[in-house]
Amino acid sequence: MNIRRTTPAEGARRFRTESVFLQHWRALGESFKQVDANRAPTAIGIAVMAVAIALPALLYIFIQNQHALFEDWGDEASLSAFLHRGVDAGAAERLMQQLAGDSRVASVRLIHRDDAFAEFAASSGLADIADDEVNPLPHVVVLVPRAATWDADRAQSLIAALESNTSIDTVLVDFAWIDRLSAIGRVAERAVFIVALLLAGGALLIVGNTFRALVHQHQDEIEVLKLVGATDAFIRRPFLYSGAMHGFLAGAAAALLVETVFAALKNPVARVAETYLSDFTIAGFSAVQAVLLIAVSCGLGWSGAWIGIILSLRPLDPVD
Amino acid sequence: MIHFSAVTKTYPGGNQGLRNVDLLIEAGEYTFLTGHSGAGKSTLLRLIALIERTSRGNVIVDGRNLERVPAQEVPYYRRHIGMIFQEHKLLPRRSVFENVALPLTVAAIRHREIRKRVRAALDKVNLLHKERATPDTLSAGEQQRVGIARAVVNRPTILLADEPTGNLDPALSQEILALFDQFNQVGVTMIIATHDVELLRKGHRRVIELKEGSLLSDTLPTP
Repeated sequence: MNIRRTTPAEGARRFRTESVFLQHWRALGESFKQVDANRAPTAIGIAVMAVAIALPALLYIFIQNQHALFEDWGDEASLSAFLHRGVDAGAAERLMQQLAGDSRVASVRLIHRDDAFAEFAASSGLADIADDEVNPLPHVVVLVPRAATWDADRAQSLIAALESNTSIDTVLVDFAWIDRLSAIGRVAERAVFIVALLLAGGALLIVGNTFRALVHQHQDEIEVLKLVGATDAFIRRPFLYSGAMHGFLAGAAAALLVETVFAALKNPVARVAETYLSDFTIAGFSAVQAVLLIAVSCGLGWSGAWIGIILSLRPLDPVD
Repeated sequence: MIHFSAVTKTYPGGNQGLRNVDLLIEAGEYTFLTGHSGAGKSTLLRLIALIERTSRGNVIVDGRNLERVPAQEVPYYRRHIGMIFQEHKLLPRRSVFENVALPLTVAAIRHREIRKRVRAALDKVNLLHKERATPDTLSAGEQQRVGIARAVVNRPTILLADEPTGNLDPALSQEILALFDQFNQVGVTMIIATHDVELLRKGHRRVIELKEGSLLSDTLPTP
C-alpha cells in the first residue's frame, strides 16, 4: 500500500480537499473556541505576559527619554577653540566653515575677537579705557558636538583633530560630565537589554506552561484526532493560533499599560523640567513602536505555544 | 489483505500481548477475534491500526509492511482504517455531526463534501435527526452508532471494532451486527474483537480465538 499516493477505491482521497488558506482559517476558528472555553486561565496568562512585556518596554522608553534629555544637555556642552592671534578674520571664517562640515559637529559659531573684546570691555566696565588697537583676544570658534560624539573615543579624536590644526592655539573642553552620564546611560541600556531578554524568556515559559496544561486538558480529544488520522501539524495549528492570540492581547495590554504610566508621569516630569528652565517632556510610545511591541508579543505567544505543545504532544503519540 | 508473520508484541515490563502469531486475513473478509481479557485481541487490532508496533515479526497490510511506515506517514495510513471502540471515544464538547466529520476534517476535505458524507453516514446508522445533539444527550446504543458512522464516513477499506457491543443489550447488538454486515457487503474488511458469545453464534463468520497472546483456533463458518 502506498500511503501517500494510492488510496483505496473507496478511500477519502476521492474527495476534493480544501485550500491551505481554508484549513488555516478553520484552525483560527478552533483557536477562538479554545480561548473562549478557557477564559479565566487565558485572562490570567495574558495579564502575566502583559506585565512581563510592559516592564522592559517601560525601561526602553525611559532610556529613549534619557537620550532626548541628553540631546537637550548636549546644547550646553561645547568646545572652545582659541585661534592663534595671527589668524585673521577671513581664515577664522574659513576654519568655521570647514568645521561645520565635520560629521561629529552639531553646530559651530565664530566669536570675532573684536566682538569678544567689546563684550569683555562692556562686562568689565572698562569700555572707556579699552583700546581696540591693543586687543589681546584671539578669534574663538565654539563647537557643539553631536550627541554621538560624547562617546569618549570619538570626543578625543575630535579634540585631537582640533589641536592638530595649525590655526588653533588652545582647545578648552567641558563635557566630561556628559561623557560620564553617557557611560551610565549605556550601562542602563545594557541592563534593560538583559532584563528584556530575561522577561521575554519568562513570558515564553509562562505561555509554554499555559499551553502544556491546555494540551493536557485536551488529551482525550487529541488522542481521538490522532486515531482518525490527524497529523501533528493539524493538531498544533489551533494551539499556535491561540498562542499568537495570547501574545496579541498581551502586547496590546502592555502597550496600554506603558501609555498609562507615561500619561501619569507626563505632567510631574514637565514641572520638574520647568524648574530647570527646560522644555523637556517625557514621551511614550510612537505608533510604530506600539505595533512592534504587539508583533514581538505575538511572536512570543506563538513560540511559547510551540514549546508547550512540543513538550506535551510527543508523549501522546500512540506509536512506540 | 492483512498478513501477520511471526508477530510478537512485548510490552514494557515483559507482559506479552502477542506471541509468534501467524495470520492471514483476506481483503473483504469478515472476521471475529475472540478470547478472554488479555488474550491479545486488542493488541492485534492496535498493531493493524499502527497504534503500536511489533516487537518482532511483520504486519503487512495491502502489501505494505507496517514496520517500515515512517512516523510522519502514520496519520495518512490511519485514514484508510475505521476504528470502533467499546467506550466510543466521542468528543463531548462537539456535536454528533462534528464528531462524525472528524476523519474528513483532519483530511482537509471540503466542507460541502463533508456535509454530504456525514449526513449519508448518519442516515446509515439512523441518527440523522440527532446531528446537532451532543454525545452526552444520547443513549449508549446511539453513541455507539455515532462511533460507527465516524468510522465509516471516510470509506475505509478496513474496519476494526474493539468490543463494539460490550455495553449494549442483545437487540442493539443485533442492530450493530446488521450494520457491519452491510459494510462488509460493499467490500470492507471487518475485524471485530469480542467475547460476546451470542454475537459470534449469530455472526456465522470466521472466528479466530486467542489465548495468552497465541493463536488457539481459527474456525471458518460452516456452509
